[in-house]
Amino acid sequence: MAIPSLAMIPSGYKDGKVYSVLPENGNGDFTFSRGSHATRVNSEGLIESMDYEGSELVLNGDFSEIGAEEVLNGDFSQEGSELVTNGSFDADSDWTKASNWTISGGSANADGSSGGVLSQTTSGISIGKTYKIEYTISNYVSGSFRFSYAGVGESFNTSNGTYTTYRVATSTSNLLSSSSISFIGSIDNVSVKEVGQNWTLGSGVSIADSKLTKSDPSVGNTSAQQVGIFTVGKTYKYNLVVSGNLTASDKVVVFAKDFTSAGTYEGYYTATAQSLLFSLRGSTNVYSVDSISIKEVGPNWTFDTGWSIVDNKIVHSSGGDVVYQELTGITSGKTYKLEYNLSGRTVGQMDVRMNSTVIDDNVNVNGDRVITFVSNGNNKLLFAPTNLFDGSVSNISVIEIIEDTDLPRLDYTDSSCPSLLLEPQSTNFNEYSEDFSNASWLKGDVSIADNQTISPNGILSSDKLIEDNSNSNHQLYSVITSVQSNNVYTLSLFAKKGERDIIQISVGGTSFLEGNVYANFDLANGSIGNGNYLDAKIDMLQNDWYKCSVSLTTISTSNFNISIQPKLTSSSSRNLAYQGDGTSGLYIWGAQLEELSYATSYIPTNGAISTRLADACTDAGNVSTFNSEEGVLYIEGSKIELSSISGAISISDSTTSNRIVVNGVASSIENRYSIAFKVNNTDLYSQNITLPFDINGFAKLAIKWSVSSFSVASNGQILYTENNNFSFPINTLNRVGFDSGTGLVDFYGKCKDLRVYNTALTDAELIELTTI
Amino acid sequence: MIHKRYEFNDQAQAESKIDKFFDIDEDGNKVPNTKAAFIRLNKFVLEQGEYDEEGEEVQPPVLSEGYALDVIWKELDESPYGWKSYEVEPENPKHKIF
Repeated sequence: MAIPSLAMIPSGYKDGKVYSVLPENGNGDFTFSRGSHATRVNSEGLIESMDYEGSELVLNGDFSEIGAEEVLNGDFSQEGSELVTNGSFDADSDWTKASNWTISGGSANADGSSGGVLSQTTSGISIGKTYKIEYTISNYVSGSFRFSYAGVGESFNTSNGTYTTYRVATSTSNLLSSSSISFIGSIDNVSVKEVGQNWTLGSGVSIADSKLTKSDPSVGNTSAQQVGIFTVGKTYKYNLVVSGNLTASDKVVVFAKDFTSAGTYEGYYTATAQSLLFSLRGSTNVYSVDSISIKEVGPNWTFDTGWSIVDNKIVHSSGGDVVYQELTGITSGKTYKLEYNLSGRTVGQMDVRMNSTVIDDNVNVNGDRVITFVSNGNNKLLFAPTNLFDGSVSNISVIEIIEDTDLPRLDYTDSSCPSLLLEPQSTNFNEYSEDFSNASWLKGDVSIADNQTISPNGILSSDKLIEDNSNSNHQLYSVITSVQSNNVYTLSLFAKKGERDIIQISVGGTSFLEGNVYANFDLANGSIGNGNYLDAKIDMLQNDWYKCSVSLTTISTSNFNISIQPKLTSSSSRNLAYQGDGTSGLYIWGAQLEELSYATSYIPTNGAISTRLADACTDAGNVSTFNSEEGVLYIEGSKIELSSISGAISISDSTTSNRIVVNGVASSIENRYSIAFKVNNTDLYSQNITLPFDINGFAKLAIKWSVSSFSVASNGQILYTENNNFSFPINTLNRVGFDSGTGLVDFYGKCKDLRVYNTALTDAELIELTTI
Repeated sequence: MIHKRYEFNDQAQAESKIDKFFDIDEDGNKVPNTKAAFIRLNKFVLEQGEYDEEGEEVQPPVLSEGYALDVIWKELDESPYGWKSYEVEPENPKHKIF
């Protein structure tokens, strides 16, 4: 089959554009406008507002970031520069030797004729520092040998081998001097290096073999320390490895803890002093610190006492201290979204503030929090317990909300494959769509508990409607005054079962064509029970939520009441009374009343009714994109309302004189459309036809034009064909749009695929193309 | 694009004004001839009414006068001829564009 010249599969968009796959030069992109915000169902199944979000302003908001290593030489393996010159005896130089020593063959050789000395004066020794002395004895024949350095000697050695000793300098003598008794043999690879840099050791403590060792128990309690490690008040994560014979009395004390057995330990420590001090207790056993690592956690945050970091959370227990970060990039007057998670809260509450301005007040319920606020210029984000508070905070985020009113919507309501959602203008006449505690929602033998469960938008903001213990209809209701007579309205509401499975929506206070309007919705199985209405629907969402809607027709201009009631059974009559228990109820969110015969995407309100304007998606392609003489217009989509004159899709020359237009027709016959083919303002074809485009699912439609024939195919069938000249003059067609061809009469529905072929496909190919 | 708020004497007057921005096509359908969004708002509640336990009205709400209509003129910078004198600018609008 031919490759289309223009193909739009909804997958990419930005402000004011819907991207087309073809042509690749971008000429096929659609121009999009709406002029207002809107919501959609995103790929996670959550309802979200279409806005841009700025970059993250909180640094290390998930507390996963860890700072650089604070400890120097924490594995005790660091060695200084070589202090011995010509330790490999490559030349007969640098050493002072008695008559019994010669240097040759790459070693110093003793002949046993005397106990004379082999020595070298080094430089850079300091009392108290530890030095590693290393050398090799080879060709051993007899006698004994040792080196002394910094005032300390070692034991005599009497065989071949490589010998390593560690000595803490007790004098400033730089003399590396041997002593021997009747020694016949060779010495090679002599090395002296400082070890244990950066550490200050108490008596009885040594650093050797990459360990810090309490090597002389007889000294009793002693210590080792490194200065300048910590900043008081900051929190650090440590990794400590200890070995040897540790007991309850012979133990390492550090980080305000006792370590009484060998092992590897990790933990968090909030510094109270700048130095790292190992208190090495006991007077019986030898034990070691093998390694110590300390890294700051929660960099970028400042903690008062009472807060600590554990497992990527900041944890508070009692007191009224704060943790804060000064954010960069906050601008007065701009809108920001704060998100964080509160968990493990067992007592008390906290505020979240920007400086002294509270943006989340008296928080005491565990869960995800999302707060939108307009900045007054304050930039210090504080988490501040207001009294005794135990709980944890994690995943802190602040981002700027960049409002945009011309963002197309790729909607995932129907499946994981998105469709381009194009809706008409609609107004939510309910002033408080989420705040059911507001006085505009009147309570008749019910109460509202705020923010009891996660809403369909993923935020902990859904209220619970709770019946009292009276025998009544238990209603939450609101009076709507803007209704007009002889109009169709649809009330929609998101609901989730609690202890009660059934929610009844009833409408009263005026007269309706349908009589006494109500509908029972079963939130346990997604069914509709008894009711009286023009139309009612229940659609399942994520997390056991349902979107319930009732449509009705007014026949007077009086006010009417929207009433929401828990019920015991789905067969309950309108406003049926029952005996409440005082605790049972269900969850509600997002009430919406529209002057339409169906519910559209959610329009949130908070104190004023609100209007989402109509989507308009037009003007794809240009004269070079299309073949005016022959081609195919193809679309896979669905209609949004059962009967409407709106809903045009066209390919045209940007006027109504040359175009193919598919337009909805107001008719008693469902899914009636007009298809018109007009050239030079003359109708070559104009018929009303029934197409399978409806509100219940997606359909495919293809219209072919050419110099020899005209065909309409849908869902794998040829609906109409005529053999005649159906072609436009060359270079006539210059745009495709979800409209009538001039930017008016917008299409409302969903589109999964739109293509234009520059070749007149055969009828067999049209059937193949449109087969579901 | 501008958002203007109007208060007409009644719905009939508002509808007659709106009708001028629609044509009747060859099939008798009403089609727009300009890019505008007309938002019919009717009346606003200025003071809430009182209702009994059954939801029946005890004290009626206080409603705004006239017929409220908001319009988004997508290609104009000011109200068209004949509309200007009906413009209103309430301090706390009870309707907003989402």
